[in-house]
Amino acid sequence: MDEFAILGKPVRNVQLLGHVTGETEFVDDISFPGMLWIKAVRSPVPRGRIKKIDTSKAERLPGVVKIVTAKDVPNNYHVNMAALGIGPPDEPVLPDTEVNYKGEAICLVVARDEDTAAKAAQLVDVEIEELPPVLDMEEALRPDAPVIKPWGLNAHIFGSGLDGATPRGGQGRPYFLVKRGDVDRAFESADYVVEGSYLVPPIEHAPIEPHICVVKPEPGGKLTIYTATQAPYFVRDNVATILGIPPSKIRVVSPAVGGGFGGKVDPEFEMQVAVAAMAVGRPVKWRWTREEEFMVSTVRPAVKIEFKDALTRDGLIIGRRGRLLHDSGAYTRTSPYGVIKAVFNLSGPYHIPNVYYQGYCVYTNKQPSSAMRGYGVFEVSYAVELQMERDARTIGMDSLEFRFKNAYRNNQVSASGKIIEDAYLIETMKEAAALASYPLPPHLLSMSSWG
Amino acid sequence: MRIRFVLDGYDVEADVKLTDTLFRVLKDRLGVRSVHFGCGEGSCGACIVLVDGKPRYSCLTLAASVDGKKVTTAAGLRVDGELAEIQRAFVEHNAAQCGYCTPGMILVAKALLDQNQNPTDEEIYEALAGNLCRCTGYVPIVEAIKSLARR
Amino acid sequence: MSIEGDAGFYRPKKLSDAIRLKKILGDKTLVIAGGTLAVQLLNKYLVEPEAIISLEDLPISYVKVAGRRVEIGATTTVASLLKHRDLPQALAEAARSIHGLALREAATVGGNLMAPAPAGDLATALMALDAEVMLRGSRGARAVPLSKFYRGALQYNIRRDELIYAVRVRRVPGFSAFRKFTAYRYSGPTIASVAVGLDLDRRRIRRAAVSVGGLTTHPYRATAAERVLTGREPSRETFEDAAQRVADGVSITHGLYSEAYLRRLVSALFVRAVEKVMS
Repeated sequence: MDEFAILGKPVRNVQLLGHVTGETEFVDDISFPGMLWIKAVRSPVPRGRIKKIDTSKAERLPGVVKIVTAKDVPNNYHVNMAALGIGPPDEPVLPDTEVNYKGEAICLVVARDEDTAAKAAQLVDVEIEELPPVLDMEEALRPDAPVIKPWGLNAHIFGSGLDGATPRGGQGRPYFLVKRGDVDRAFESADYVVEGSYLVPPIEHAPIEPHICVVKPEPGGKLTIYTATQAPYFVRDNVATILGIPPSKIRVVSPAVGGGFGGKVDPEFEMQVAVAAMAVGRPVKWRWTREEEFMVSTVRPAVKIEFKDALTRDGLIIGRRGRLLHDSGAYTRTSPYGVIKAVFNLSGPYHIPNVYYQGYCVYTNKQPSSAMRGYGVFEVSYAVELQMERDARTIGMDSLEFRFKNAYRNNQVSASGKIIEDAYLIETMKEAAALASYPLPPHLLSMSSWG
Repeated sequence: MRIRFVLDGYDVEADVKLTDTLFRVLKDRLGVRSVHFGCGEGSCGACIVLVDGKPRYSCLTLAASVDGKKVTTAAGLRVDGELAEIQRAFVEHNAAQCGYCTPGMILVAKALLDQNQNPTDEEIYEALAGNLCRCTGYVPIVEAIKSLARR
Repeated sequence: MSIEGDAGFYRPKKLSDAIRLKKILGDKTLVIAGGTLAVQLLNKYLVEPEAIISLEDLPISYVKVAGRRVEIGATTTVASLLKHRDLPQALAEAARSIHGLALREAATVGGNLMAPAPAGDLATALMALDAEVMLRGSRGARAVPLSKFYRGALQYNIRRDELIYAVRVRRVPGFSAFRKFTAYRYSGPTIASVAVGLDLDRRRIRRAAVSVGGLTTHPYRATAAERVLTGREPSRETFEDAAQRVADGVSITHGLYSEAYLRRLVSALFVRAVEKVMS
C-alpha cells in the first residue's frame, strides 16, 4: 500500500475544521430580512373528524401575518415517492376533514417571530369529533376494527401498481407475497416444525438537529428551499407537484445536516413551509421542537415477524412460512417499499427452497413511519437470526454449524428466483471465528460458498 | 431592554425581551453559528456556551442575565488565530461526524481539562453526561480528551 | 427606596429587596435561581411571566460547616458544593451523582429542594440528614423541617412573600449515604434514589432516617423502615428487614417502570446505601 498516496492511509474529514470552531453552517443559520416564523396547530387526538377551525382570536394577535389551512394548498396530497410510482396519495399536506394521528399538523400560524406564532397557535380553536383509533397492528387487521382508509382495509393493497414493484392492473392483495416451491409438502415431510414470533418496537432517530427549514420566494414564481435533507430531489419533486409548478422553478439547498439516519429522507414538512411562503410572499422559517421531533417526525416502523420453519433431522431448513406486519402509521409514505424489501429478505442469507411469505403494510393511527438505517432489512435480520437459534436448539445442533449448513451456496436460487452468485457468508463466518480465536471443527472449515 | 456583553472577545449589544433566552439572542438575533438548538431543556448540550468561564446551557440562561458578562463559544477558543489544543485534538481523533454537538462538546471538554488535568474515563463520561452525540458513539471524543491529559 | 429593574427583570442584591419584590410583583412573577427548570417553562410556552426575579446576585451562595452543623445558601450550585471536602457524606454523594458540567454550574440547592421528580437528588439526601428549610419573608425568618416542607405535588410550605435562603443541618449523623439508579450509567434522569442517615454504635442504632426519591413528586421519609431500624442492633438481619419496608405505605405516582420493579429497586438501593455499616 505504500506506493499509494490515499489508499490505505487515513484521510481527514475536511468538515472537522468547521465543526470544532462552530463555523459549519446548518439550516438554522439561514435567515433573511423580513423572515417570518411558523408554528403548527396539531391534533391532540389520534383520530377524529375536524368540525371547525376558528382562527379569529389568533388572527387578531399583533404580529400574526397569516394562518395557512388546507384551502391554501394547491394540490393537497403528500406524495412522498410519486416519482417512483409509490402511493396511493392518501395523505394531505394539511387536512380539512379528518386527522389520523396525534400531532398531525392541522394549520400553520405564520408570524413575525417564534413566540408570537406559538402564542397564536394556542389561540386557534379546533373542534374535533373523536373517532375510535386503531393503535395496534393485529387489532387493525381484525374484521371488526375501525377502518381508517377509504378503500375499506387497514392494509395497503399490493399488486395495484402503486408499490413500485408490481404492474398496474394486477390483482390486488392486502399483503405482498413471495412464494417458491411447495411449502405444504415441505411441512408434511419435516422432522421438526419450529415456530417463533418477534417484535421490534418503533425507533426514533433522534438526531441532535431537529427538522428545520427555510423557504424563500424568488422572482418569477420560483422558490429556494433551505432544508436539512438526505434527499433534495424528493423535496424538489414533491413541492413541485403540490404547488403545481415545474421542478425547474425550485432550488433545494441542503447545508450540513445535523444527523439524519433516515429520518430526513422523507420530505415531511418542506411542502408545508413552501405553501406558507407562497401564501405570504416572504421568507418563512420553521424550527421543530424536540417534542415535535419525537411525536411527529417519522420513526423506524414497528415490525412483527412470525416464522414457522420445517426442518430435517440433519439440520436443513426445507420450508419456511413467514408473516410480517409493518406498522406504516397513519399514512403510506414509503412503507410499501419497506415491506417489499423486508419480505424479499425473510430467508436471510440462507437457502430455503420452499417458502410462503406474506408482508402486510398496516395502517394505524400513529405517526407515519419510514426509513432508518437498513430500512426493511434490520428488523428482518434480527428475527431471522433469532429463529435460526431456535431452530438449532430444537434440533440440538451447534448454532454455527446450523448456519454453515444452511448458508447460501453460489448457484442456488433465492426465494425471489434470483440465482445466487455472490454468496460469501461461510467465508465471513470463518474469518470472524478466526478473529475471535474461536476454533471451528474441520468439517465446517472445509465448507465453502462454492459447493 | 438593552444588554451589553463580551462575545468571543467582541463587545456586543442587543435589545432583548424579558423572556428571551441567551440562545435565542445568540442564534436568532446575532446570527451566532457556534451554538445549536437541540432540545430547549438542557438535556442535549448543543447550545452550551461558557459564561464567565463556566459552562452553561444557553437555552436555560436568560439573556438579561448575561449583561456585563463574558460569553465564549467554540468560535472564540482560537489562540492567535490558531486552533486551541482541544480543537486540534478533536480533529486528530475524528471526534465529530455531523458536527452539531461539537461546539458544546468542545467547551465542556475544555472546562473539564481546566479543572482536572488528568481525568479518569469515569470523570470524562460524568462531565460529558449533559452533551449528547448521536453519531460518534462518544469513544473518539473521550480519546481526544485523554490525549491531552497531563500525568 | 426603589429597586431597579429593566423591563420587568430584577437582580436584587439584598435578600430583603428580593422578598419585597416578590410580595409587590405578585403572581405573574417567575423567581429564577439557576433556571434549569424555570427557563424550561419559558421555552415550552408554559408560563408567561410579567416579571422575573433572578436570585443570582443575592449573598446566599455559601457553605458553612462548623463541627456537625452545616448551613448551605440556597443559590449554592452543585459545582460550588463539590469544591468542599467536608460535606456530609450523603450530600456529597448526591451532588457527585448529578452529572454534566453545565448542569452542575446551574443547578442550585434551593432549586433542587423545589424540583419535582425525577429531579431532587439533593432534597432526598438532605431529608435523611434531618435538614431544615430556612425561609425569610416580610414577617421575619422561620425554619421548616424538610420532611414537612412538601404539602403535596408542587405544593410547598412557603408563604407568598417568602424565599428560601438556606438549608441547615443541625447535627450531621455519624453515618450517611446516598444511592441512586438512572437509566444510563452516567446520565439520564433518576429512576429512584435512597438516602440514609444513622447514629449508631456496635450494639444499637440510636437514630435512623431513610428518605426515598423518584417514586413520588417529592422525596418522602420511609418511616416504616426507620421504625424497624431504631433501637435494634446494626446487624445484617436488621437492615434486610428494614429494606423490605422502604416503600411501605407509599402511593407511587412517578416513574415509567412498574410498581413491583420500583419497590424492589428502592429495597436494593437501601441495601447498597448501608453496605458499609452492615459489614
